[in-house]
Amino acid sequence: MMANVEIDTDSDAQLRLLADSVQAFATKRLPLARARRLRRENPEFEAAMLAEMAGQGWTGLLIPESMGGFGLGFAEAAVIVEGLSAQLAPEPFVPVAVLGAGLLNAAAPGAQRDALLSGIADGSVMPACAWQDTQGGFDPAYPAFRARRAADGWIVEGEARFVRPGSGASTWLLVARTENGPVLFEAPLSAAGLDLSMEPQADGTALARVRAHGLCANEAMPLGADRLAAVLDQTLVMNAVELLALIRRMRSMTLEYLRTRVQFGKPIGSFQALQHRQVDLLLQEELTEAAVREAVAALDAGAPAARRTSLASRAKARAADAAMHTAREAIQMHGGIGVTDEYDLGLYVNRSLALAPWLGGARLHRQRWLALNPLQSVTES
Amino acid sequence: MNATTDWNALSDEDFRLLVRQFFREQYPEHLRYPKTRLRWAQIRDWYLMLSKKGWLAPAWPVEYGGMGLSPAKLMIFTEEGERRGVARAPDMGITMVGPLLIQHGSEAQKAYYLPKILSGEHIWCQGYSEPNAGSDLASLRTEAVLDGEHFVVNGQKTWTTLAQDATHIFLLVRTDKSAKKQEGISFLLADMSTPGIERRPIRNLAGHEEFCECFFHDVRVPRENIVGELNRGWTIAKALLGFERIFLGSPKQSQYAIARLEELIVHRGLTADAAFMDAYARLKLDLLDHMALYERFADQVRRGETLGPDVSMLKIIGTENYQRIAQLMLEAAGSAAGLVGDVELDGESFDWLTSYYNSRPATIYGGANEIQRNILATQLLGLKS
Repeated sequence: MMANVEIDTDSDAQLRLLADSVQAFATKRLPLARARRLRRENPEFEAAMLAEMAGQGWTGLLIPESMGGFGLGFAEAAVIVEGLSAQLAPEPFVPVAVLGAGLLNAAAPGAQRDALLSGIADGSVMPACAWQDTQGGFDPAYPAFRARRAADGWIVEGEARFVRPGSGASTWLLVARTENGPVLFEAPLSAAGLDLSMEPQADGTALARVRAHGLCANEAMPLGADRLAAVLDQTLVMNAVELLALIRRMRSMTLEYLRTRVQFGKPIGSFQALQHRQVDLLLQEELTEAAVREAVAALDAGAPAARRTSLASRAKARAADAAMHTAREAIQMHGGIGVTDEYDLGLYVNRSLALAPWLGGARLHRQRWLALNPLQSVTES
Repeated sequence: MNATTDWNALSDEDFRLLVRQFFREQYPEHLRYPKTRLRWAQIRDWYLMLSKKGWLAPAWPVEYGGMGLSPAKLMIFTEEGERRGVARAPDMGITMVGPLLIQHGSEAQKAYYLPKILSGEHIWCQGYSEPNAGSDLASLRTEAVLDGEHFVVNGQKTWTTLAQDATHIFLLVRTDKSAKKQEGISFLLADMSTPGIERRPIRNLAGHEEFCECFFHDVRVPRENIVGELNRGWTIAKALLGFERIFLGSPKQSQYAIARLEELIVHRGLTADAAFMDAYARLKLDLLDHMALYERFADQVRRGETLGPDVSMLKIIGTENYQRIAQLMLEAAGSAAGLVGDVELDGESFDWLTSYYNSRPATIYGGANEIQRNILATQLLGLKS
């Protein structure tokens, strides 16, 4: 018992150290003006910055030490994700360091896989991972692509959508189903048989739509179906962490505004109607944090699949709803300035609009949760 | 297992199992999950059994006849009772008067009152609320004027839970009308049989008489019945609100109500109704997130830390979830929603209105949720009024 307590305390201290260094980095290197400047660029982030984050060891956080990473857990990843999201860093940290690294971690070991993982850890590889179908469903059993054996390799067909990052990646990773379960393919950006289009999002980033027609691939990296499902849940939870950071920032900006904006001779934060609405935002923030914290702990504890998926969908449902609610309320409490492009709140509102629906919105994840926790059975515990 | 057992020396798991077994085996089956607060006549035997076992006052120090439980152990004790549907005994003497006297009472007061609470000879009720005061408790007007060796009390208290069954009442009274609102208030103990005290039950929407109004007309209370210093009652009353505040935000009411809702949904075949199920899933996830947040505060209590004003969050979240669950239960009941009590529906019986009625005052008592929001806005967020 005592030993556990000490270990927890140690890891708490480590997490605080990590949070401090992320904070220091973000303050110095990621001012909001930068996020403002980069939106609607193509790509909308800087590869050099992602390389710098790799230099901090962050992109290799979830990658085993044998491949140049740190082999740490999701509590640590959450600290980084939260810090970057709070400053609206457009670098695709979750898509690359969580989803990309996760898919490769989940794949069977091999020279290609190992090289890609080391590349993510050192910042030289930045994959865009395509797996979600064009309907925007979230079903690991049905990745967007199908692959069949050909004379000297594989033929890949299908279409994926909502791929983040949409541009600026160094290579493609495609998840396909085969007769023998899911596999992962790497394809160069210019591969024949791969059509791309960009779909701009509210925050000035873009998602890719990827169509494979007769794409030839030499080598397939086998993925365990269970491991694929786990990686997607992990990505979902980190997406919820991104949203939590947005919620916190929008709420604190609004609180600051209520304290300083004067109307009728008083700060508007002295009006009870606004105080109560601000408190309701606090409640949503705290509920989101509680749900996200439970999900992150379950990932690190290696919870059984059903519980892990339940918690991931629950965290996403709460975070997406709370982020959208907070965005609407923050605009209202700011008044007219809240709908202007020149005010920073709008950057957070637009990022919320982009991140809340990614990998499925609140409604989809409530349904997913419900499917796993039907009424007759013992509920999630 | 005698009165001197050091319960805190047991591991949490062992203690939990012990308590669980006791509540499972000894608590009367017909009194589990009562729909309304039980009257003294119904709960008396259980009260006396707890007393005999030495488990009536879990939070009191052992030297006064309590179990001397640490906050962590007390959480377990309460959780297990809630889990097993154990009703609250008339516990004002145990949770309020006892701790008050132990902290602030004179030796004579402790020696006289504490054993009589434990024996069931004295049943206490709480004289805080007044008409027109509501959550603005400090605006109370019932006054006590010193006349020789007695205070003469005049005024009215209300929302006095189960005053019908009480032998004693503890009162917040105004003893200095010239002082500021929170000052000039004293804490007074009174015997309900004193001439001039009249009690009148208040019937609620569900038809129950859980609360009373109490009237005081020239009631002479011995001077030695004051607790602590004259005009310092408010400070004492506030200090009594300890970590028990966490229980106002317990998810247990919602957990119990949603279990009833789930039975009703399955029975009525509503699982095929996608819109209804989305509404249900929202509430269930609200509950699970509330439980996760509750754990954060429970950990604080277990570590022996003092709860801050942020605990008000739990009360708001919990009681408003509870009301939404009760509301959805009415929707699930359809045309039968207005029928009261155990209602037969396709061969099974359900009771939805009890949750509806019970959930109404939850957002009012213990400081209305609007007051809780004021507390959070001013004390936690630093907004000025």
